[in-house]
Amino acid sequence: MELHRISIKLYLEPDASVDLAAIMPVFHAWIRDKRVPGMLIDVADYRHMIDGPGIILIGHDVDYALDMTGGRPGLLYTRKRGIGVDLNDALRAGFAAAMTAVHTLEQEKSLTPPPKFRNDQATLTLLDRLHAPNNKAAFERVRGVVEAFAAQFYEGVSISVEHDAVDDRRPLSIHIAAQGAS
Amino acid sequence: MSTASWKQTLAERTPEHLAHEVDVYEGQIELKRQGKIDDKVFAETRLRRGAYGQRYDNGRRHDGVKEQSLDYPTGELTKGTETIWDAPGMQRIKIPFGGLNPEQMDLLAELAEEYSDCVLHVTTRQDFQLHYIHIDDTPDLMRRLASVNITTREACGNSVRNVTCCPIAGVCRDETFDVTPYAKALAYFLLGHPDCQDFGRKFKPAFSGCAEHACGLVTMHDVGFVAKVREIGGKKRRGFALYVGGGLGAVPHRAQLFDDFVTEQEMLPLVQSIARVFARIGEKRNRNRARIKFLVAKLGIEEFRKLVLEERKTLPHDERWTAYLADVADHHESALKDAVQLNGQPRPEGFAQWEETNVYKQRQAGYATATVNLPLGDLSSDQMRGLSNIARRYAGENVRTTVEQNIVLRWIIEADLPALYKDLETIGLADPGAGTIVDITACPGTDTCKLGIASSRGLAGELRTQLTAKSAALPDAIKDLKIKISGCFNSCGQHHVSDIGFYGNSRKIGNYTVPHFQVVVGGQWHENAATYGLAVGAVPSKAIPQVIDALTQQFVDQRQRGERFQDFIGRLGRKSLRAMLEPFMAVPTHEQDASYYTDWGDPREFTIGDMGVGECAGEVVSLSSMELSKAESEAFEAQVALDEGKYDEADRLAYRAMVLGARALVIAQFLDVGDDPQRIVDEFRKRFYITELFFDKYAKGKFAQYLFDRHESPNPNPEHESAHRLIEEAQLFIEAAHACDIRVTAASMDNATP
Repeated sequence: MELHRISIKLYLEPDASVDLAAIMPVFHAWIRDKRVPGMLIDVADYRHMIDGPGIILIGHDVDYALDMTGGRPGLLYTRKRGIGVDLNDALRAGFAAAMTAVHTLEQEKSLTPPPKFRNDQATLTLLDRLHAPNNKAAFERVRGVVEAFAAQFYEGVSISVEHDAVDDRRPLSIHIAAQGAS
Repeated sequence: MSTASWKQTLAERTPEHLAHEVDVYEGQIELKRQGKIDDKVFAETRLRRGAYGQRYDNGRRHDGVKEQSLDYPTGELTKGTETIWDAPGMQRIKIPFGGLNPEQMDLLAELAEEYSDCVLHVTTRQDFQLHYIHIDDTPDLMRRLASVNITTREACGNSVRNVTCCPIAGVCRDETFDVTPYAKALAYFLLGHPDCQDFGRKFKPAFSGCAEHACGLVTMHDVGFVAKVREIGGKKRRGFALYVGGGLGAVPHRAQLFDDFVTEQEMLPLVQSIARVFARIGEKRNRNRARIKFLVAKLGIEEFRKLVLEERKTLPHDERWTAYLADVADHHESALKDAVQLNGQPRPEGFAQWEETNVYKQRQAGYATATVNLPLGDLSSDQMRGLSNIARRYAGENVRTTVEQNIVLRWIIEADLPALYKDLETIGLADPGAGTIVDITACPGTDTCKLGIASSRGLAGELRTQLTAKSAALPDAIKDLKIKISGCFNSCGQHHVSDIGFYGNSRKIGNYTVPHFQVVVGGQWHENAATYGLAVGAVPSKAIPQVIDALTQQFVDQRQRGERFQDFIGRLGRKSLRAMLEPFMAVPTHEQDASYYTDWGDPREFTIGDMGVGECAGEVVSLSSMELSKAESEAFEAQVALDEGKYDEADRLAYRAMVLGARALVIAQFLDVGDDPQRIVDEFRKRFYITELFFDKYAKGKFAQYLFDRHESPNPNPEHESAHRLIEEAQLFIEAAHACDIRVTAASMDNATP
């Protein structure tokens, strides 16, 4: 079964700050120069929203955002189309694209200081309430795949995956933590 | 994981008529994919379901250096003229009179997450908009809305748009009576009404509970109602002053008084009559002159009134004209809690400032409304869920959107206000200043609109930031001024009725194009948008904050005692105002200040090359074409049923497809044919079969016979073969109906040509 949409959030270091105004021209340049995977279209500016979506690079099949939701800034990668039926493949491709965006941002010369991202936490969200409702049963169905993927991705360290069960109206979200990642 | 579809999952919870509408629409999408529907017909079809185009949907975008091609996977497939299938679009969601409940709010939050960018936008007509929607997702999006009783039908296109209403109707201290049930009745009466399917342009109604205050903005609408009570025969009767022919757009018109007092009983038939006259004689070829305001101006109100009243006499009686009055009598909003006043409860920090601007004491003692001041009309899906929790806790079902792009929670007990404020703070929605100078209205502009010239939202965001930072020190004289910004002259931001308004344009400076805004001052929001502002001059976008400072300072310094801003503007005059703006009109060279050559919130070198063909004034598609498109969809549904082994349903839908095809032809001659199949078949026989208008050169009346045979002798036990055959016959009938429509249209144009 092909999920409708998934997102992956990779967090900034706790003491890292980011100037959203400076991100805007970076994202515009990514469109021009095709710097990250996906068919990229435009940049949406939501700086006026407190703890909101920040700046979003809108694509046809993917979005990338410097997202401020929950008061935790991070790179939010959203895969919107062509996810495919294999969740493991989708996670592999998604994390790879998200990491490309993270590395590209960290090396962006116009951002001073350059943003620094954590390498030990991620949040995976399955934005598909029809096929993956936010409940324990749906979490358990995907848990094995997510754990196996996380173990590979954070190779050599112990990982945990936890269902975010605070509000069942939210989409199914899974926090991934890697203890001792370098 | 589940293999269910939203259609299956929601089947039990969705009103049948809403579910069917979406099924038909989905069928039309499939037919378009197969190339069986014309671009213009499909564009109007999806517009009438609120599925709008967005900037760059022609597949081209200027990246700041050069125009780039956006290579969507679906290649040449289009969803309208020059509108690529895969390109993100906007979904407009109508919220009649702005009325929302927490269940609907939760669902909207879900849709924003699964189909959009997690942001919900409140429009200047109390709708919601979701951006970056893929058209393939729109049927499920609409199904999910239907499950909470929201339809997107006629949210866009040449149709009756959302019926707006004062957001404090029912709790307002000054209102004559609560206009909410009337706004609701009109919205649902006109929705899909046959007399409203052949307009040349959109049609916007509005309601106001009183004449003095702004909330309903009646005089800037196509048709507007202001509540009145009159004594008739010794009894107090409710009714309305009815206005017609208002509208903003590029050239604003004030609505004219159609009737000083229209009774509740006449409200619906009169609007129906107005719709008929508009459909019949309104302009359709020249899109720029097709709003009803031009028709009323051209005819004059006396002649227009005469035509409408004549039309009124011809209307077949409709029970619904007065049936809604039972709902009016029953209309009642209830509070969650008994009223308790705010007495000595601790006030959190910031509460006093928020209360001063955002809280309105209801006429019901001990209750208040709280306005949630949304930045640029936006809230995130998480915020929407938080707000629905807050509504459940304090307001119950009593939530309204506003035309100032905010949300109002009603029936809050005063004692709860501090706690409500704290809860809003937790979700980042406790900004004070609702309805004041910091609460700036802006249309989407160049962010997403194809017609946007300059960045209305970018400018609004910048002004909001600057004005909020100094809001505590702003003189009282200017605190309540209204600023409204449109991205172009079409005034979706309602700049004409603001104290200080702007609309986007551009100027050539050397080899560059520089974003500008035309400054429009002295419009009047109050007295139902009583007057429109003066255009004074165009100023570079980056100089607008200085214009605000200069203009407001001049007002503070030079106003006479008690003088209103409009009167001050009138006293100063255009020449003097222009002189004030002159210093800000100069554009530095690119070398001196390159920032002037980009727009707010967009670092790209400014260009107007990204503008496209707007869909707000899209093509007029004939009524017959639109109706035949529905017949096609029904035939498609019949095929789906056949594939699923549902032969009874396939037979029924194939027959219905032929009836719809016949109706499509009949209504061009006889609008009031109604929906009864017997009547439709009789009229079709009389007008198209006996006259041989329907006859094909070679097949003669054969295809018509398919309809007559099925109508007269339905098969009691359809099976695969018989259902399949009937579907084939339905297809042939519809093809013949198309051919007939073309012949008849060509003949009428030949007759019209001198």
